[in-house]
Amino acid sequence: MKPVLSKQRKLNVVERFLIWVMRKFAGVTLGYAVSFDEEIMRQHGVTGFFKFARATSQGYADLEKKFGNELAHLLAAFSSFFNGCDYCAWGHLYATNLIYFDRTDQLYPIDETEVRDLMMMRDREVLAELERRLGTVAPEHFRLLKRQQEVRFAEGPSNGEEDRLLVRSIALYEWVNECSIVSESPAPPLDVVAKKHDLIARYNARRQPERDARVHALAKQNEKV
Amino acid sequence: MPEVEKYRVEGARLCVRWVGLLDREAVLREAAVVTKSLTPSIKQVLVDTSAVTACPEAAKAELVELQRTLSRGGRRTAWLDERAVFRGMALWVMHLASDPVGKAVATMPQAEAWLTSNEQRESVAAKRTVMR
Repeated sequence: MKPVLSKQRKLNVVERFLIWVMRKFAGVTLGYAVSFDEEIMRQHGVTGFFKFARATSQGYADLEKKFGNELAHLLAAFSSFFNGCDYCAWGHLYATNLIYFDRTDQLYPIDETEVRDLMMMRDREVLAELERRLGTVAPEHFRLLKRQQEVRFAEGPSNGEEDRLLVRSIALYEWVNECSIVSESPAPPLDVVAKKHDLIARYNARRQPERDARVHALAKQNEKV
Repeated sequence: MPEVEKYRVEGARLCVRWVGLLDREAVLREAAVVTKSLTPSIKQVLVDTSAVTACPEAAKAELVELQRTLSRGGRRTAWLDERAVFRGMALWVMHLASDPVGKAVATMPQAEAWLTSNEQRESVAAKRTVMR
């Protein structure tokens, strides 16, 4: 899907060239390129773009160092989710799904294609749904997502290194989502796992029956209405 | 057609609450009312979308125009909704309106904190991200 860009100003030749180069480079080294890079350039200019990229990459690297890649992507997904950015929520959840599938040969309990439907729910309903899905299969994942929400709303200071990083994960994606909000899902998996084309094909093939069942159930529900 | 359930002024704050389908015509109609209510004494606007059921694409473009009006002169706004999808819409609107002092929030205490602060949305997020 094409990003809906703000068009507040056109990128100049140098900026457009840099975006082109970086997309090529990202495609080769990471296996994906984000679609809101133009908006970052538009808002921050060349110098600001690189400062933004360095700071946000460092922010993510610190999350990854503490929680590991799979959980860091999950935290990134739900930071973005609660900000209403379906593009980043989808892309990071897709990465979590692929990494989890690669590690366990099992499907993670939340499909990235459900992001937009889940976003229509009230926050407390989302948390209840996360508990229902993750509570038994991945209790540590649910504990962290719940805590991330608690520190988001906490008035007072948070406690310890974990809370400090969770607070930072929220700030990080408030910053990223400022520009990514102009892009719409679906997003590519926002991890180097995007280069594993065989894994992606196997994952999507395994997911398909569940996705078909959801579409079928929805069609039946609409018939009744 | 969204009926405006509440339009009230509390000191320097204008509180707006929309209900139902917020389509383009509705936004244009409500924008006219809101704009009239923006007297010089209004320094803060609280937009509650908790009871909005849908907002089509065409309406969102009009909301950007409304946000430009709301934010004129550095007026602070908070868009309140418990649903992520409408907070995302509010962020999109504020971003496209180039309003640095508007924020989408999930709770009333968050709205209160934002409206009474002097922070800018993006700069505070950037500052907290690089703080280690």
